[in-house]
This record gives sequence, structure tokens and C-alpha cells, in this order.
Amino acid sequence: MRIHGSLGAIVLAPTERLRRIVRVDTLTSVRLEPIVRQQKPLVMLELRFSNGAEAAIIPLVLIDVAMLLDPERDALVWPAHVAEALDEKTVANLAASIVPWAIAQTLGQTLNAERTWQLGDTGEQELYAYARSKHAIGAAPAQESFLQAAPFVYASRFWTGGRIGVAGDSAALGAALAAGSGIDFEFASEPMPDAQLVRWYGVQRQPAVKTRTLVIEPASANAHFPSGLSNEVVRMGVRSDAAGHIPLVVPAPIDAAFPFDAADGVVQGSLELSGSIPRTLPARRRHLRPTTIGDSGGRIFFGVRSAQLPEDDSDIDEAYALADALRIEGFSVDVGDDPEAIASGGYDLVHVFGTLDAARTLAFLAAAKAVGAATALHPYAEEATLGGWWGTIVTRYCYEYAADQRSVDDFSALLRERRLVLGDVRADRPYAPPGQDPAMLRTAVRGADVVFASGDVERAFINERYGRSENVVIVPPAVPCSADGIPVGALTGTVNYALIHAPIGPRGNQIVAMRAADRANIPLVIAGTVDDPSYLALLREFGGASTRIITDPSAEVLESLYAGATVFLDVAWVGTGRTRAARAAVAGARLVIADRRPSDPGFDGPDVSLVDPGDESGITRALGNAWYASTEFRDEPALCERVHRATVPRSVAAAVAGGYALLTQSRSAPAASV
Amino acid sequence: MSFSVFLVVSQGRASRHATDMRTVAAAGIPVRQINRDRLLDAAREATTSTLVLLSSDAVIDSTTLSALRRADRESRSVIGGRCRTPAGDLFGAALAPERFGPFPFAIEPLQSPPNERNVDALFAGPIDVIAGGLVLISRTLFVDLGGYDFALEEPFALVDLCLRARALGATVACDPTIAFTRDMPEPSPRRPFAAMSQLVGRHFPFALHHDPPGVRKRGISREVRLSGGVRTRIRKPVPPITLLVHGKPPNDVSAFLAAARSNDISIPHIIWSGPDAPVHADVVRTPDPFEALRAAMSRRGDRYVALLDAGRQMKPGWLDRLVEEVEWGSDIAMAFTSREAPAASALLSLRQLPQHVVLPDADSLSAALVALADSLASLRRGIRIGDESQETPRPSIPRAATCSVIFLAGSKPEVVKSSFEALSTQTPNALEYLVVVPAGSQTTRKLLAAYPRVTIVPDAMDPGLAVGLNVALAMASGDRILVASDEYLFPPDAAAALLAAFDRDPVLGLAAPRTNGGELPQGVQDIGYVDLIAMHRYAAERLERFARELTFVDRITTVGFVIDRRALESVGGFDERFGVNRFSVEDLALRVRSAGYRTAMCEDVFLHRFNIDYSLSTIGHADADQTLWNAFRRKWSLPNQAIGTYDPRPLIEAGFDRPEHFVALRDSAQAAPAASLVTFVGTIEGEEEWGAASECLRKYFAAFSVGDPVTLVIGVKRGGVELGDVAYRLRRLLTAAEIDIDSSMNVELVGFDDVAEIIAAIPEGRRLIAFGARQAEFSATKRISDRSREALRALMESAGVTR
Repeated sequence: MRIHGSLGAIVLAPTERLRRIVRVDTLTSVRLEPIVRQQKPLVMLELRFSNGAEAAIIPLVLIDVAMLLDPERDALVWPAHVAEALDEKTVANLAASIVPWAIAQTLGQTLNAERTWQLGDTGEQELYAYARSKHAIGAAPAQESFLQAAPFVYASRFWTGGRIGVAGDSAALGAALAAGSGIDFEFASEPMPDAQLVRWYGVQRQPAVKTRTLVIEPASANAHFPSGLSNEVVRMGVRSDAAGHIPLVVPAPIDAAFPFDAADGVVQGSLELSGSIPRTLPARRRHLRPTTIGDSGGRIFFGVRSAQLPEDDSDIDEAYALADALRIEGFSVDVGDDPEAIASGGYDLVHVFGTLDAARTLAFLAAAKAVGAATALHPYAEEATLGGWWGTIVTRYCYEYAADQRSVDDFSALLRERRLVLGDVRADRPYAPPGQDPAMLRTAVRGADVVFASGDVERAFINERYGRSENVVIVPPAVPCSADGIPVGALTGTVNYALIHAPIGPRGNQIVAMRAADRANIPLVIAGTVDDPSYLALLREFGGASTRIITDPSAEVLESLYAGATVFLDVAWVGTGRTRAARAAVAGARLVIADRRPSDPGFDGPDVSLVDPGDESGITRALGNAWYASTEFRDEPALCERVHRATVPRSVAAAVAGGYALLTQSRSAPAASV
Repeated sequence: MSFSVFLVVSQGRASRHATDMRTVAAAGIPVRQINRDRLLDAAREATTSTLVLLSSDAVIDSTTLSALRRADRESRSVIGGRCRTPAGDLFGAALAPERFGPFPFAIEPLQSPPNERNVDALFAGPIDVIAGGLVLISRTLFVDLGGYDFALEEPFALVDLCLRARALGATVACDPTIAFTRDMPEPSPRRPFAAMSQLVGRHFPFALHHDPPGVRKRGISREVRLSGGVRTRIRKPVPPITLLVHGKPPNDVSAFLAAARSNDISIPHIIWSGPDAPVHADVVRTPDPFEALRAAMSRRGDRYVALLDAGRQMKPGWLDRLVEEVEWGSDIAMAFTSREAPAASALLSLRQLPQHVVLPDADSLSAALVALADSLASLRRGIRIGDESQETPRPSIPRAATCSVIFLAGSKPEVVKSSFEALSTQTPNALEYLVVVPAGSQTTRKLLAAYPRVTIVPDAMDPGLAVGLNVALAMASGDRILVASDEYLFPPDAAAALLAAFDRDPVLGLAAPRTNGGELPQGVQDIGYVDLIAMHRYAAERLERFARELTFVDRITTVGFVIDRRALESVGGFDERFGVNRFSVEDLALRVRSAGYRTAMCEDVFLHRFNIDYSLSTIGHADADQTLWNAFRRKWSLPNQAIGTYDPRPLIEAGFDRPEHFVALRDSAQAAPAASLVTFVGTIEGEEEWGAASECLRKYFAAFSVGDPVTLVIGVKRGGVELGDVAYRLRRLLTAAEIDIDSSMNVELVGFDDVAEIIAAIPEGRRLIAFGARQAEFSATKRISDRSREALRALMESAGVTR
């Protein structure tokens, strides 16, 4: 049977029940709905089964519509959990019954609207109509039913152990989702759950016990649970307005089925959280902001890719952190992304961070030379052309174009083996997209008066790749000074989590990290600016219960996320890098980082795992080891103290200033001809 | 023409890639940077009649400005240009109907095709949506429209603007001479679903332009399948069209024909059918419309047949619209303009109609078309009526199909036995097992005759068993016929999986397995098994991993396949000139494909093919045979190229030519050789003798033919040359000499250790004439020295027989 891993959180019945009742003769309704995946059309089915005594719904059975007409493969692609519950014969029998109906809806016709096929008796049909009126999964359009499910999907980040209490109109759906995930649940005794919906979802009541970790109820309700409430309860109120903590957005299945982000659609309500919301751990070490003491002369311009996105990536982070550190030492530093600003600024020195926008980097350097300013460059040299850009481009296709889980697995294996080819984009020969011409990078690196490297390995790399050996100065990464965080427990749901902080897009490679974390059952917080919305949609589609996505986090949220992270992942194909890893290490996280960059001497030892960004299994192992080292032993990683000492802002500023000092000595003899 | 340039920015910031406004100002053109939330106000305040709205990342130069000055604009129009991007030139987008999906249309970018010279002509003119980046719009229109709705992200805001402009009666068009550059890719929208929902809610239904007129004139738009099951639409030349006009001619036939031809698509062939068919230089007259339509449908392939009632008033483009309808989806076989009178104006796409589907008898053409349409649902073929959706009945579940098995036994006995047992145990419901064996193969006959339901089909005419195979195909009574050479070993459940493919695809004509050896199309490379157990494990893994998975291909080469009876009856049997090997299977598969059936590899079925050195098979030697390949090329008029490197698509699109390519099956009487009165006998004992023997054999084949009461017995020394090898070489000799097996003299191959065995194998009463090194040992035979045609025939006649 073909299976898919999309929206794995939507399981509405436990395996045993599915095994007992799912058969052709218990099929009571089939609802077909056209949806969208990666902005491409798709069709899904919702099936309901009932044998009179029990019932179950299987949503998200996807139809590979092309296969209805050209049957190269099975047309039905089942949610992954079905493979555990049903045997091949049962699935084949269901397909033999459903596919001809689906063909009849398809042949010679457009399929732009919902279709239903009722097989049950009058009672079942009446129940279907009722469920539809209540926006139930299996009977109502997904935009309605998924909105009902959204609070429970969000709540999954809190239901660790114990049981959940559900109340209100959607209580039956919440109970069904809990049962499908193997979580104990409890209905409120007041108000009573909707008996018809309980029947619709086939929910079987469970005896009440006292432990309870989560209550989901309508906002301002005062649901009554017979056994009272424990002090450990998180309460989630579902509001019809946008005033709560977490927005509920009209879903767009599958791409934005459960976005919880107002940027992704029309807000239709919100979740209000109260009670014992988890509090993230404090950072193990912090760089406190020192008092300004210096009074140096000279005006410095820091050139970055985008001043509009100060949290975009590590290069920009470092520019701002270093600007801060230098200002404390009395330097006058402006940060900007417009090379034309240099001409009118009267700057003595232009320091450029990164080469991700190589044309802009060159423009900064040219503008500086035009006004006679000295130039410095943090190139963050890495093997982008040998595999980095290849991985950036091909990885998403493993998921985007995979019609089922087997395709994902096959593609993932090919990714790990570097055997995926997309036209000229190959792993076995240099490749860079337009704008990343290695010649431009070489020109930039050779053109700057001084170049900063993280260590001897990067310095050697710069020499080897770019022919630059003079005035290459080693400096530790600049880490932002600690600021005040804000509570993020409502977002993270758990005290411990792994953090990946990178621009959300193919370059950040979050999808491989996410799959690895899901396999290891480790909560993963994905934070970052949104570089590519369709990639964000992929993360949401394939993200399991352990994934929390926080888009465009504020500086305060980031401060708390770093403070609480147990493990920090940097598995980007290109970009991010040492500043963020150093920030996480200082806060006490163990590191799992891509092995593609020249290794930094500060990031070695047992608290750091180097991984291949294309190797999901390797990342899973490394993440698991780092996770259990932190959560089991709860010791402070030795890395924390070491990196903390190495990245004291004043030391970093001094090291960089040392580099600048070279410029005054060598201005008459430019570093290297271009 | 006066215009102003507005550089439209967001949040007061222009992109670093923006046009240098000084360039524009230097050209004397008013230019302003406008924040987008002030754009409508700025338009109201502008003094020029036309505005150029430039995105902050679009770059124009003096050439663009010149083109803008020249642009031919109507008073109320939205004009776009050619957007140069790193990924290619973009001219706008078509709002194409979306067949499956929540929205009734999709936004499809219009990009310049690779290697296209006259791109401007393709895209110039009306267009659904212009390219983003530069908009030339009349000021009053922009104001009347209320400007952009920036609540919609790009590209939806522009789509919305174009749709609203069209709704107000304005022209939306592309002028490709207005070229500009965008270096940065357009960011993908964050809320596309919500934006599309809004667009549909605001605007649909509206008339979709589809592709621009210039593009439409270049051919048809067809959905095609790419590897991996991905579908896409491509442009391709219009297939051949035959127009069949029926009914009483109007007064002005020429005017009618001119109206009928008023389409972008040209109509080269017009047949006028009916008793009153007019005499006209442009038409071919036929009396009976049914027969005319059947004749037009007789050859399938990628062709159209259009029907038109002579009493009907056509609108220009009537056929263009029907063509769009039949190409609307990959399943559409017919399109009608009217549900009530389908024959009034209809189009049949013959590639969608397998050869066995014929026009039924009915009271009228329309009734026949309706009946034909009704029969298509079971083949998963749809019809389109106007622009309505067609209610399709739920396809009925077909009755359980029956199966016959044809087994070709040409290998050594132990291979024959193991292959047959493996196959027969997994086809317990087969109606019959028709085992084709060489006429002289007594051991194999005895071995297999003992199995139940086995009928031995000896092939006395063809050592390569092609004749016997055609006899067996004629004898087979099943709905599906499994043909397998004993070279192939069926792992458990393989046969069932192969047959089951036909339950899933109603137009599957021929299905083949995967097999070992990467050199043939069905071969799988890098197979690691080393013994039978490992092979079974590998096959079982494939069976599970690729369960029910087909790959539709145009070329099948394995002598192990299942053919559907309807396909077999449509195209006939094996072309005996190739023997039984990859070429004859490929030939059969090509005919099946060109007759409108699909051919597929079953990815879940793996058959092990024995190494020829082990099986000693008399068939299947020909994988890389240049002689047979040359014969194959000649048959299909292929250029001189390496084996198997041809493109089969043109042959398939040409359709199955029954008079040319149908191969009649044989009954057993046809396969019996003429009674033989004289036997020439000779021996081949080693490879070194083959050269001389082949020279000698050529002369015999030239001297005698099937009508002569003569048999050539060739003794093949065991351990010297393989019997199968000799059989295969004989086939090559015949093919190279272009001698059909039907017309060649009778040949028997006999393996021997001792010459006496050869004598014993020859029926008593025949006169023997010997050739070869052992002539002396055939003491009772005449010896031959002169092998000229005349001398050999004189020998026959001197033996007392004449033709």
C-alpha cells in the first residue's frame, strides 16, 4: 500500500479500533475534496466506517488523481498510521470499491468541488448531515473541520503524560484525536459532550482518573470535570476573536493546514493559554552588556545583506553583535545594507559580513574603495559550491515531488549518497546558482584589505580556495549580549527542546532536521525568518507532533529560545554558522552542526557532533546522543564555559580591532591585487 | 504618447536592483518614486494619459523607453512586456482551467520556449495576465479600477488588476518589444490559497483566454505524462484531421466548405458522405456515412476525425474549440457540441480508442456516437459535450478474465522442466497450457505431455518456434494469454501479478515483467543475487515494494509477457521473420501500441532469465543480432542506427496499419510442412564447420522452397555446436536472404553423438542425399559436389521426384 507522511497528527482512531472495524462492508461515507499541496492541486478523501457498535474515521487519504486515468500505481495514498492497522488485502478491497467511484467523478469532468458518496442507511445519512452541520472531520469541508481540530493539534505540544480534558462543541473531535494518538482523555461532565458527534467519531469514553495535564475548552467557559483539577493543568481556551495568545487561521489544506500564524491567512479565532505553562530554563552562561568605556576615533560602516531582517542569519547576527561590542569600546559603527550609503557617510572603514549576496558584497567593497575607505570582510568561507548549493536545491524536491513515503525514503537515500541530480545541479562537480559565482567570491575575498577567519582551518581554506594569505586575522565569533527574554512556554510546550534557528527555506535544511527530530521523538523548535513560504508549507506538512515552528521571532523570543535550548542544530546547507552556534553553546546547549564548514577550534569535543546535512539518520543519532547527554545527566557541557570565555564581547572587539589595526599599517600596500 | 513612470516601492524603500530614475528623467519622461499605498492618489494627480508602473526590482533602459513610446495602446488598456529573468523570458500568464483542484483555474506562466526564434509573434496580443514588473496602463482606467488591491500578494494583485480591467471592457495585452529585466526571482506568496480563494470569489466565472493566440496557432496543447507519473502540458503539431461531412448539401457548397474551414487548424481531407454528396473539387464522395466513418477510424494513432452535419451553421473556430475539448484531459476520446445531436458537430481522437472499439450499428450517426460514447466508460475514456461536465456512469467491475498459457520449450530438458513447473504451479486457473516444442524434440515432448491440461504444439516448420507460437496463439481461448519462453523462471506469484495488471488498466494490451540484465529495456541493473534462494528473495521484495506498479513504456522485449485477446485479435501474432526473440516481441508490442493499447512493465514482477550458456535455448539468442535488427529496421522504415536506439513514438502515432502490419495466426494445418520424399542430410560438428555449412545452406535455401517435397536434416554434434545456436543462425540466414519462413524449404535439426542417430531420426522411405564432412559415413546416400541451384534440383529430380 502507498502511504504518506503528511499531517501525521491527524489520527482519529486507535490502531486496534481501525483493525476491528475497517472493511468494505462497514464503509458508510466517502467524502472527496480537492485541496492544494505545494500550490499544486490534489484530492483527498475522508472515509467513515461503522459497524453499528463502533465507528472510525480515516481522513487524509490522498488520491493520486493521474493514477485514476493512467493507473501506473495505486491511486489511493493512505496516511502512514493506516499501514500499522490494515493489511494489504483490506486496503486493496477498499480501493476496489472506492476507486471506481472516484473514476466516475473524474472521467471527462472537472473536479473543483467536494463530492460525497453515502453508503450507510438513513440513520447514518442523518448522522452525516448532523456532523456536517457541526463542521466535523469526515463530513465537512476541510477549511471548517481543520479549524475545529486546530486547538487540539496545537495542544499536542503540551500533552506529555497524564490525560487531557476536553469540553465544548469540539470535545468529541479532541477526544478522537487524543485516542488516535494514544493519549488518555476525559470529557467534561458539564457541559456534556455532543452525543451525536461522539457517535460520529466513534469515541469510546474512558473512566476518569485524577491526573490531567491539559484542558481544552471554549474561552470563558467553566467546564466541570468530575475528578477536579490538578495544579499541573495547562488550560487552553478557544476564543472566537483574535485576542488570545495563538491565532487560529482559516486552514489551507495541506500547505497551511494548521499554521497558527496570522501571516498565513485569515484569523478566525485564537487560543488563550493559562495555568501551568512550561517555563523555559535560564541560560547557563550569559554575556552581560558591559559599560561603555572607550572613545575611539574613526567611523565604521558594517555592510550586511539586509538591515530589514536583523535576525535573518548568522552573518547579520554577528554584524549587529560586533557593532554593539565595538560601540561599547567607543567606536562609531553604522549598520546598513545599501552600498550607496557609503559615499555620503564619511566612513574610514567598511566591514562587510558574508558573501551570501556576493554582488552586494562586491558593491560594498567597491563603494568603500571609491571613497578611499579601508575594507574588512568576514567571508564565512565554506564549501558552498561543492555540495552546499546542490543540497540547498535538491533536498526540497525529495519531499515536494514525492507522491508517497516510499518516494521520500528513496530520495532521502539518494540525497545521503549524493546521487540526486537536477540538470546541471550535481553533487560531484562544483555548482553555484546565479549570484554565487565563485569568481565573485574570490574577487571579494581577495579584494578586502583584511579578512577575518574563525581559526586556522578557515584561514587555510581561504588561502587554498581564494589565494588569500595576507592579513587574514583569526577572531572569535561575536555573540549578542544577553537581553531580556519573554516567556515562550506557550510556544514551545515543553521545558526541553532542540532548537534550529535559521532562515526558513531550503538553505536552512530544516526539513531534514525536523524528520530526524521526529524520528528521535525530540521536541524541535524551528525558529527563523521566512525565506521561502512554500518551504514553510513543507515543514508544516511533514512536521510531526514534536515540531513547533516559530516564524519571524522577536529578539525577546529568541533570547528565551536560546536560553532554554537543550540542543542546538545547525544543519544548514549554506549559511548560518558560528555566531548562532556560539550563542547556543554559551547558553548551555550541546551542538549538532553540519560538517561542511572549516571546523572551528572552539567547537570541538564531546559536546559537539558534526553531521552530514544530507544524512537524516546521522542527524537523528547525533541529536539523540546530545539530547540524552543533556536530559539524562543534566550536567553543564564543558563547551559552555569554554565558548563563553572565548566570546567575551570585549575580547572579540579587541581581536577585531587588532585586525583593523593592520589596515593602518598596510594602507599603503593593499592586501592583494584583484 | 505621453506617459509617466512611477517606481512603485513598498515601505519607502526601493530595491537595490531598481531602475536608475535618472535614466528615465534624462529621457524627458516624468518619473516619481511612489510608495504603493499612495499609488492611486498619485495616479489621480498625474497629468499624463498613461502610466508606467514599475516594480522596484524591475530595470528598464533606453530601449525600453523607446518601446514604451512606440507602444500601440488603446485608450483603455493594460499592456505588459517581456520580462527578462535569469530563468528565461516571461511574457505573462495564462489562466488555464484547472481540472483537479479547489480552484477552477490556475495561473500558468508563459515563458519563451527554448530555441524559439520568433517569440514575439507567439505572445504579442491579448493575454490573460501580463508579466509582473512593468505595467503600461491608461491613467483613467487605473483610477476607475481603484488601483491595485495590495491586500493580495504578488502575483495575485496583478491577476486581479487584469481581470478587473477585462471586466470593464479594457484590453489586456502583451507587447514583447517592451523588454525589461528582473534579476531577483519573485518571492513566493505566503498566502496563495487565501489569495486564490479571493480571486475565484471575485471573478469566476469568466472567459479564460488560455494561451495567447500566437501560441495556439503553433499547435495543440496536450497533457503528457513524464517519467515518475508527473503530468505536464506541451505544445505539439496538430495531428492529421479528416473531416467527414454528412447530410444533404446546402445550396452553396463552396461557402459551406469555406465556413467549415474557418479555423486556426487546417483541414486537408474532407469526405462528403451520403447519397446526395456533392461533386466538388475539395471533397471525396462516399455513399454511406457509417462506412465512411468506420473507414476513417480504421487506422488509429494520433489522428482526429471530425464530423459535421451539412445542414449546420458553423461559427468560425468551431473545430478549434472541439480540438481544445478533446485535448482538455488525457482521458478524452470524443467531443460533441450538442448532447442532442452529437453527429452534428463532433471530434473523435482516435489515439484514445483502442482498435477493437468500433462504431456500432444504429439508426443514425448520432445514435451510433452515443452508443460508442457509452461504451467508453469501461475503458476509462471520457467525452466532452460543449463545456459541460459529462456525468459518467460508474465503471462496472468486469467479469473475471480467463487465461491461457503458451510455453515455448526450446532449452535443455532440465531448464524446460523447472521453468514449466514454476509457471504452471502459479497459474492453476489457466484454461490450457499450449507447449510449443521443436518437431524433433522428443524428450521435451515426453517431459511436458505428462502434465495436466497440456497440449503439445510441435513446430515442424521453424526451429525458432515462431510458427508454432502463432499456431498456439490461434488455439488459445483465454481473455489473456501468457506467453513465456522457458528461458524465464517465474518466481512465486509472478504470473498472477502479471495477469492482475490487466484488471487495473482496461486498455492495457501487453504487460511484461522486469528481468535480469540491464542491456534490454526491461532489464534491471545491479542485481546482486547469486543463487535461486536469493533470487526468490529479491523477486519477493520487488513484489511487495512495487506492488501493483506499472511503468507505461513503448518498447517491450522480453519473451515472457501477457497479451490481451482484444489486442491480439487487432494486430495479429508474431512476425515469423524475426523468430521468437526481442525483435519479434518488440515488433508485436509496437503494433499493440499503435493500435491504441498501452504496453507496460510490471515493476512488481521479476523473472529470472537463464544464461544462454546454461539453458542452451534454441530461441532468444538474438538480443544483439544485427541481421534481425536490420530486418526490423526495414519493416518499420527506421534509419540506420544502433540496435534499439530508435524513437518508437512516430510509429505509434501513425497508428496501426492493418493491411501492412497485421500478422495472421496459423491453424495447425498451415503449420504442417509439405510431405517430404527426399531428404538432404548433413552435419555440423564444430564452430569451424559453420562457415562452410552456412555457405552450403544458403544454396539449399536458394534452390528449394516450401512446395518442394524436400527436407534438409542437419545433424548437430553434441558438444560441438549448440543446437539452439544453429537454429538461431538458420533464422539469420533466412532473414538475411529475405526468405519468409512460409516459403523456405523444410529443415529439421537433430542432435547426435553418433551418425546413426541421424539416420534413425529420418522416417523410412525417404531418399537420402548427403553433404558435409560425414558424407562417407552415410553409406546409403548420394554424395553432393555441385550445389548450384540447377544441380541440386537435378538431384531432387534424379531421385524420382518433381514438383
